[in-house]
Amino acid sequence: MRDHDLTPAEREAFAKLSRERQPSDLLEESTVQILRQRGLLASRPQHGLVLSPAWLATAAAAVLALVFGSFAVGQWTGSRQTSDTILALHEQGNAQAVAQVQQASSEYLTALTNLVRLAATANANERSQVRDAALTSLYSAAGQVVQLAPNDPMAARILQAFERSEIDTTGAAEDHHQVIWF
Amino acid sequence: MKIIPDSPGEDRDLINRIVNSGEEKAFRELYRRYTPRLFQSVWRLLGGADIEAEDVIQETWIRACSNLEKFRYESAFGTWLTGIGLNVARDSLRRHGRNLMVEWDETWDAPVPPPKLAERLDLEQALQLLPDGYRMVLVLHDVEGMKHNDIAALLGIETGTSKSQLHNARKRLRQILSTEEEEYHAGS
Repeated sequence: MRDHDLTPAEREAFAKLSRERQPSDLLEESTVQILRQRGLLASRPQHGLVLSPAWLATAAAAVLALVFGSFAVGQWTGSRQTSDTILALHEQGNAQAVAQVQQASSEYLTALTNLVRLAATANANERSQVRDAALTSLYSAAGQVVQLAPNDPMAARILQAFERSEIDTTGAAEDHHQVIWF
Repeated sequence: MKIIPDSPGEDRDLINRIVNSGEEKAFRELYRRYTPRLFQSVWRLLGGADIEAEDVIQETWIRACSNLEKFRYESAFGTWLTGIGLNVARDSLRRHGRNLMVEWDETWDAPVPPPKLAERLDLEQALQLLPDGYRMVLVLHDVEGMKHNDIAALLGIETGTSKSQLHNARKRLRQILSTEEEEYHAGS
Protein backbone atom coordinates (compact mmCIF):
# COMPACT_ATOMS: atom_id res chain seq x y z
CA MET A 1 0.00 0.00 0.00
CA ARG A 2 1.36 3.38 -0.93
CA ASP A 3 1.98 5.57 2.08
CA HIS A 4 -0.32 8.29 0.80
CA ASP A 5 -3.31 5.95 0.55
CA LEU A 6 -5.75 5.98 3.40
CA THR A 7 -5.36 3.15 5.89
CA PRO A 8 -8.42 1.07 6.76
CA ALA A 9 -8.60 2.83 10.12
CA GLU A 10 -8.49 6.22 8.40
CA ARG A 11 -11.22 5.21 5.97
CA GLU A 12 -13.34 4.08 8.86
CA ALA A 13 -12.73 7.36 10.71
CA PHE A 14 -13.80 9.39 7.67
CA ALA A 15 -16.86 7.20 7.19
CA LYS A 16 -17.90 7.89 10.79
CA LEU A 17 -17.84 11.67 10.38
CA SER A 18 -21.29 13.16 10.74
CA ARG A 19 -23.15 13.85 7.53
CA GLU A 20 -25.63 16.41 8.85
CA ARG A 21 -25.40 19.56 10.93
CA GLN A 22 -28.18 21.96 11.86
CA PRO A 23 -27.61 25.65 11.30
CA SER A 24 -29.32 28.23 13.50
CA ASP A 25 -33.12 28.56 13.27
CA LEU A 26 -32.61 32.18 12.26
CA LEU A 27 -31.02 31.09 9.01
CA GLU A 28 -34.25 29.61 7.71
CA GLU A 29 -36.25 32.70 8.63
CA SER A 30 -33.73 35.13 7.17
CA THR A 31 -33.51 33.07 3.98
CA VAL A 32 -37.29 33.03 3.60
CA GLN A 33 -37.37 36.76 4.22
CA ILE A 34 -34.77 37.47 1.55
CA LEU A 35 -36.52 35.23 -0.95
CA ARG A 36 -39.77 37.09 -0.29
CA GLN A 37 -38.04 40.42 -0.79
CA ARG A 38 -36.67 39.23 -4.11
CA GLY A 39 -40.06 38.02 -5.23
CA LEU A 40 -38.96 34.39 -5.31
CA LEU A 41 -41.49 33.47 -2.65
CA ALA A 42 -44.97 34.87 -2.30
CA SER A 43 -45.45 37.28 0.56
CA ARG A 44 -48.72 35.72 1.68
CA PRO A 45 -48.06 33.48 4.69
CA GLN A 46 -49.88 30.21 5.11
CA HIS A 47 -52.55 31.52 7.49
CA GLY A 48 -53.77 33.99 4.89
CA LEU A 49 -52.63 37.21 6.54
CA VAL A 50 -51.24 39.49 3.85
CA LEU A 51 -47.94 40.79 5.12
CA SER A 52 -47.34 43.23 2.32
CA PRO A 53 -44.95 46.11 3.04
CA ALA A 54 -47.90 48.51 3.05
CA TRP A 55 -49.81 46.44 5.57
CA LEU A 56 -46.86 46.06 7.89
CA ALA A 57 -46.03 49.75 7.70
CA THR A 58 -49.64 50.70 8.33
CA ALA A 59 -49.89 48.33 11.27
CA ALA A 60 -46.64 49.61 12.71
CA ALA A 61 -47.73 53.21 12.28
CA ALA A 62 -51.05 52.48 13.98
CA VAL A 63 -49.31 50.85 16.90
CA LEU A 64 -46.91 53.77 17.22
CA ALA A 65 -49.84 56.15 17.17
CA LEU A 66 -51.43 53.95 19.80
CA VAL A 67 -48.37 54.15 22.02
CA PHE A 68 -48.16 57.92 21.74
CA GLY A 69 -51.89 58.21 22.18
CA SER A 70 -51.72 56.15 25.32
CA PHE A 71 -48.96 58.40 26.56
CA ALA A 72 -51.03 61.47 25.72
CA VAL A 73 -53.95 60.20 27.75
CA GLY A 74 -51.69 59.40 30.64
CA GLN A 75 -51.46 55.68 30.11
CA TRP A 76 -47.93 55.09 28.99
CA THR A 77 -47.65 51.41 28.45
CA GLY A 78 -44.35 51.34 26.69
CA SER A 79 -42.84 48.78 24.42
CA ARG A 80 -44.53 45.74 25.91
CA GLN A 81 -47.98 46.74 24.74
CA THR A 82 -46.57 47.66 21.37
CA SER A 83 -44.99 44.27 20.91
CA ASP A 84 -48.04 42.50 22.34
CA THR A 85 -50.26 44.35 19.93
CA ILE A 86 -48.13 43.49 16.95
CA LEU A 87 -48.01 39.89 18.08
CA ALA A 88 -51.77 39.87 18.44
CA LEU A 89 -52.27 41.27 14.98
CA HIS A 90 -50.06 38.69 13.47
CA GLU A 91 -50.89 35.58 15.38
CA GLN A 92 -53.69 35.82 17.87
CA GLY A 93 -56.74 36.89 15.90
CA ASN A 94 -59.20 39.72 16.03
CA ALA A 95 -60.60 39.31 19.53
CA GLN A 96 -57.18 39.26 21.12
CA ALA A 97 -56.03 42.28 19.15
CA VAL A 98 -59.05 44.29 20.25
CA ALA A 99 -58.53 43.22 23.83
CA GLN A 100 -54.93 44.43 23.67
CA VAL A 101 -55.93 47.97 22.75
CA GLN A 102 -58.95 48.51 25.02
CA GLN A 103 -57.16 51.11 27.09
CA ALA A 104 -56.61 53.35 24.08
CA SER A 105 -58.88 56.09 22.89
CA SER A 106 -61.61 55.31 20.39
CA GLU A 107 -59.74 56.60 17.35
CA TYR A 108 -56.87 54.19 17.89
CA LEU A 109 -59.24 51.35 18.62
CA THR A 110 -61.07 52.06 15.39
CA ALA A 111 -57.82 52.14 13.38
CA LEU A 112 -56.58 48.91 14.86
CA THR A 113 -59.88 47.12 14.48
CA ASN A 114 -60.06 48.12 10.85
CA LEU A 115 -56.54 46.87 10.25
CA VAL A 116 -57.37 43.49 11.73
CA ARG A 117 -60.56 43.35 9.64
CA LEU A 118 -58.44 44.21 6.63
CA ALA A 119 -56.19 41.25 7.29
CA ALA A 120 -59.13 38.86 7.42
CA THR A 121 -60.97 40.26 4.43
CA ALA A 122 -60.60 38.36 1.23
CA ASN A 123 -62.82 40.55 -0.94
CA ALA A 124 -60.72 43.09 -2.83
CA ASN A 125 -63.35 45.84 -2.80
CA GLU A 126 -64.02 45.45 0.88
CA ARG A 127 -60.30 45.40 1.60
CA SER A 128 -59.93 48.67 -0.20
CA GLN A 129 -62.74 50.25 1.82
CA VAL A 130 -61.52 48.84 5.13
CA ARG A 131 -57.97 49.92 4.38
CA ASP A 132 -59.08 53.45 3.64
CA ALA A 133 -61.18 53.53 6.80
CA ALA A 134 -58.18 52.35 8.81
CA LEU A 135 -55.95 54.97 7.25
CA THR A 136 -58.52 57.68 7.90
CA SER A 137 -58.61 56.65 11.55
CA LEU A 138 -54.85 56.62 11.68
CA TYR A 139 -54.66 60.11 10.18
CA SER A 140 -57.15 61.34 12.75
CA ALA A 141 -55.26 59.65 15.57
CA ALA A 142 -51.96 61.17 14.47
CA GLY A 143 -53.68 64.53 14.28
CA GLN A 144 -54.88 64.17 17.88
CA VAL A 145 -51.36 63.38 19.06
CA VAL A 146 -49.98 66.44 17.26
CA GLN A 147 -52.57 68.63 18.98
CA LEU A 148 -51.54 67.26 22.34
CA ALA A 149 -47.81 67.24 21.58
CA PRO A 150 -47.03 69.52 18.59
CA ASN A 151 -43.36 68.61 18.52
CA ASP A 152 -43.90 64.88 18.55
CA PRO A 153 -41.66 63.66 15.70
CA MET A 154 -43.39 60.36 14.98
CA ALA A 155 -46.87 61.83 14.66
CA ALA A 156 -45.46 64.62 12.51
CA ARG A 157 -43.86 62.14 10.15
CA ILE A 158 -47.11 60.20 9.88
CA LEU A 159 -48.93 63.37 8.90
CA GLN A 160 -46.20 64.36 6.45
CA ALA A 161 -46.54 61.01 4.75
CA PHE A 162 -50.25 61.61 4.33
CA GLU A 163 -49.66 65.13 3.07
CA ARG A 164 -47.13 63.90 0.55
CA SER A 165 -50.12 62.09 -0.98
CA GLU A 166 -48.47 58.72 -0.40
CA ILE A 167 -51.65 57.72 1.35
CA ASP A 168 -55.12 58.73 0.15
CA THR A 169 -57.44 59.36 3.10
CA THR A 170 -60.41 60.41 1.01
CA GLY A 171 -61.56 56.87 0.46
CA ALA A 172 -60.79 56.85 -3.27
CA ALA A 173 -57.53 54.89 -3.07
CA GLU A 174 -56.92 52.06 -5.44
CA ASP A 175 -56.39 48.65 -3.98
CA HIS A 176 -52.68 48.41 -4.63
CA HIS A 177 -49.76 48.06 -2.31
CA GLN A 178 -47.94 51.19 -1.27
CA VAL A 179 -44.81 51.48 0.77
CA ILE A 180 -45.34 54.00 3.52
CA TRP A 181 -42.17 55.43 5.04
CA PHE A 182 -42.19 57.45 8.20
CA MET B 1 -20.54 13.02 -4.28
CA LYS B 2 -22.33 11.21 -1.47
CA ILE B 3 -25.85 12.54 -1.28
CA ILE B 4 -28.68 11.33 0.88
CA PRO B 5 -31.30 9.52 -1.21
CA ASP B 6 -33.68 11.93 -2.86
CA SER B 7 -37.39 11.51 -3.10
CA PRO B 8 -37.49 12.72 -6.68
CA GLY B 9 -41.26 12.65 -7.01
CA GLU B 10 -41.70 14.68 -3.85
CA ASP B 11 -38.88 17.04 -4.81
CA ARG B 12 -40.47 17.67 -8.19
CA ASP B 13 -43.80 18.48 -6.55
CA LEU B 14 -42.18 20.90 -4.10
CA ILE B 15 -40.15 22.55 -6.84
CA ASN B 16 -43.20 22.99 -9.04
CA ARG B 17 -45.12 24.61 -6.19
CA ILE B 18 -42.25 27.01 -5.56
CA VAL B 19 -41.81 27.89 -9.23
CA ASN B 20 -45.50 28.21 -10.02
CA SER B 21 -46.76 30.02 -6.96
CA GLY B 22 -43.78 30.91 -4.78
CA GLU B 23 -45.23 28.73 -2.06
CA GLU B 24 -43.34 29.32 1.16
CA LYS B 25 -44.45 26.06 2.74
CA ALA B 26 -43.00 24.08 -0.17
CA PHE B 27 -39.74 25.99 0.07
CA ARG B 28 -39.43 25.38 3.80
CA GLU B 29 -39.93 21.67 3.26
CA LEU B 30 -37.27 21.58 0.57
CA TYR B 31 -34.97 23.70 2.71
CA ARG B 32 -35.33 21.41 5.74
CA ARG B 33 -34.81 18.36 3.62
CA TYR B 34 -31.48 19.42 2.15
CA THR B 35 -29.95 22.09 4.37
CA PRO B 36 -28.57 19.87 7.18
CA ARG B 37 -26.56 17.81 4.73
CA LEU B 38 -25.44 20.84 2.75
CA PHE B 39 -24.56 22.82 5.87
CA GLN B 40 -22.39 20.00 7.22
CA SER B 41 -20.41 19.83 3.98
CA VAL B 42 -19.96 23.58 3.70
CA TRP B 43 -19.18 24.00 7.39
CA ARG B 44 -16.47 21.38 7.17
CA LEU B 45 -14.99 22.86 4.00
CA LEU B 46 -14.81 26.27 5.65
CA GLY B 47 -13.01 24.91 8.69
CA GLY B 48 -15.90 25.16 11.11
CA ALA B 49 -16.71 28.81 10.50
CA ASP B 50 -20.38 28.95 11.54
CA ILE B 51 -21.26 32.42 10.34
CA GLU B 52 -19.46 32.11 7.04
CA ALA B 53 -21.06 28.72 6.46
CA GLU B 54 -24.54 30.13 7.12
CA ASP B 55 -23.87 32.96 4.68
CA VAL B 56 -22.89 30.39 2.08
CA ILE B 57 -26.05 28.36 2.69
CA GLN B 58 -28.23 31.41 2.34
CA GLU B 59 -26.55 32.46 -0.87
CA THR B 60 -26.83 28.91 -2.16
CA TRP B 61 -30.60 28.88 -1.68
CA ILE B 62 -30.95 32.31 -3.24
CA ARG B 63 -29.08 31.17 -6.33
CA ALA B 64 -30.98 27.88 -6.42
CA CYS B 65 -34.38 29.56 -6.17
CA SER B 66 -33.37 32.14 -8.76
CA ASN B 67 -32.65 29.32 -11.22
CA LEU B 68 -35.21 26.80 -10.08
CA GLU B 69 -37.36 27.10 -13.18
CA LYS B 70 -34.31 26.17 -15.28
CA PHE B 71 -33.65 22.97 -13.31
CA ARG B 72 -34.23 20.10 -15.70
CA TYR B 73 -33.88 17.08 -13.39
CA GLU B 74 -30.84 15.89 -15.31
CA SER B 75 -29.33 15.18 -11.90
CA ALA B 76 -30.86 14.74 -8.49
CA PHE B 77 -31.89 18.01 -6.91
CA GLY B 78 -29.54 17.44 -3.98
CA THR B 79 -26.62 16.98 -6.34
CA TRP B 80 -27.50 20.18 -8.18
CA LEU B 81 -27.92 22.10 -4.96
CA THR B 82 -24.64 20.82 -3.55
CA GLY B 83 -22.84 21.87 -6.72
CA ILE B 84 -24.10 25.40 -6.19
CA GLY B 85 -23.09 25.27 -2.53
CA LEU B 86 -19.55 24.16 -3.33
CA ASN B 87 -19.12 26.98 -5.81
CA VAL B 88 -20.39 29.51 -3.30
CA ALA B 89 -18.09 28.07 -0.61
CA ARG B 90 -15.10 28.26 -2.94
CA ASP B 91 -15.96 31.85 -3.80
CA SER B 92 -16.32 32.67 -0.13
CA LEU B 93 -12.85 31.37 0.63
CA ARG B 94 -11.38 33.38 -2.22
CA ARG B 95 -13.29 36.49 -1.19
CA HIS B 96 -11.86 36.21 2.30
CA GLY B 97 -8.38 35.97 0.83
CA ARG B 98 -7.83 32.37 1.78
CA ASN B 99 -5.34 30.44 -0.26
CA LEU B 100 -6.71 27.42 -2.03
CA MET B 101 -3.34 26.34 -3.35
CA VAL B 102 -0.90 25.38 -0.63
CA GLU B 103 2.80 24.80 -1.14
CA TRP B 104 4.30 22.01 0.91
CA ASP B 105 6.41 23.51 3.69
CA GLU B 106 8.80 21.22 5.54
CA THR B 107 9.26 23.81 8.29
CA TRP B 108 5.52 23.97 9.04
CA ASP B 109 4.75 23.11 12.62
CA ALA B 110 1.56 21.25 13.40
CA PRO B 111 -0.59 23.61 15.44
CA VAL B 112 -0.93 22.54 19.02
CA PRO B 113 -4.61 22.36 19.80
CA PRO B 114 -5.77 24.04 23.02
CA PRO B 115 -5.62 21.63 25.91
CA LYS B 116 -8.93 20.17 26.91
CA LEU B 117 -9.32 18.20 30.09
CA ALA B 118 -9.61 14.48 29.33
CA GLU B 119 -10.38 15.24 25.67
CA ARG B 120 -8.44 14.18 22.65
CA LEU B 121 -8.35 15.88 19.31
CA ASP B 122 -10.80 14.20 17.02
CA LEU B 123 -10.70 13.99 13.26
CA GLU B 124 -13.21 16.82 12.83
CA GLN B 125 -11.06 19.17 14.89
CA ALA B 126 -7.93 18.07 13.07
CA LEU B 127 -9.55 18.89 9.73
CA GLN B 128 -10.18 22.42 10.96
CA LEU B 129 -6.49 22.83 11.67
CA LEU B 130 -5.49 22.08 8.08
CA PRO B 131 -4.59 24.92 5.72
CA ASP B 132 -7.64 25.88 3.65
CA GLY B 133 -6.42 24.45 0.36
CA TYR B 134 -5.47 21.10 1.84
CA ARG B 135 -8.70 20.84 3.75
CA MET B 136 -10.79 21.64 0.69
CA VAL B 137 -9.27 18.88 -1.45
CA LEU B 138 -9.17 16.32 1.35
CA VAL B 139 -12.78 16.90 2.40
CA LEU B 140 -14.04 16.85 -1.17
CA HIS B 141 -12.17 13.62 -1.96
CA ASP B 142 -12.00 11.59 1.24
CA VAL B 143 -15.21 12.73 2.93
CA GLU B 144 -17.51 13.70 0.06
CA GLY B 145 -16.20 11.10 -2.39
CA MET B 146 -15.60 13.42 -5.32
CA LYS B 147 -13.26 12.42 -8.13
CA HIS B 148 -10.12 14.39 -8.88
CA ASN B 149 -11.36 15.63 -12.24
CA ASP B 150 -14.48 17.09 -10.59
CA ILE B 151 -12.41 18.63 -7.78
CA ALA B 152 -10.04 20.11 -10.33
CA ALA B 153 -12.91 21.60 -12.31
CA LEU B 154 -14.42 23.10 -9.17
CA LEU B 155 -11.16 24.65 -7.97
CA GLY B 156 -9.88 25.63 -11.40
CA ILE B 157 -6.75 23.49 -11.16
CA GLU B 158 -5.24 20.55 -13.02
CA THR B 159 -6.21 17.01 -12.05
CA GLY B 160 -2.58 16.25 -11.22
CA THR B 161 -2.51 19.24 -8.89
CA SER B 162 -5.58 17.93 -7.10
CA LYS B 163 -3.84 14.61 -6.55
CA SER B 164 -0.68 16.17 -5.19
CA GLN B 165 -2.68 18.50 -2.93
CA LEU B 166 -4.53 15.46 -1.57
CA HIS B 167 -1.26 13.63 -0.95
CA ASN B 168 0.11 16.60 1.00
CA ALA B 169 -3.17 17.13 2.81
CA ARG B 170 -3.20 13.56 4.12
CA LYS B 171 0.43 13.90 5.16
CA ARG B 172 -0.36 17.12 7.01
CA LEU B 173 -3.41 15.63 8.70
CA ARG B 174 -1.35 12.73 9.95
CA GLN B 175 1.22 15.16 11.34
CA ILE B 176 -1.51 17.00 13.24
CA LEU B 177 -2.96 13.82 14.67
CA SER B 178 0.44 12.36 15.59
CA THR B 179 1.48 15.62 17.26
CA GLU B 180 -1.71 15.53 19.28
CA GLU B 181 -1.02 11.90 20.16
CA GLU B 182 2.44 12.82 21.45
CA GLU B 183 1.12 15.79 23.44
CA TYR B 184 -1.64 13.64 24.91
CA HIS B 185 0.72 10.95 26.07
CA ALA B 186 3.27 13.47 27.33
CA GLY B 187 0.61 15.02 29.53
CA SER B 188 -0.81 11.79 30.87
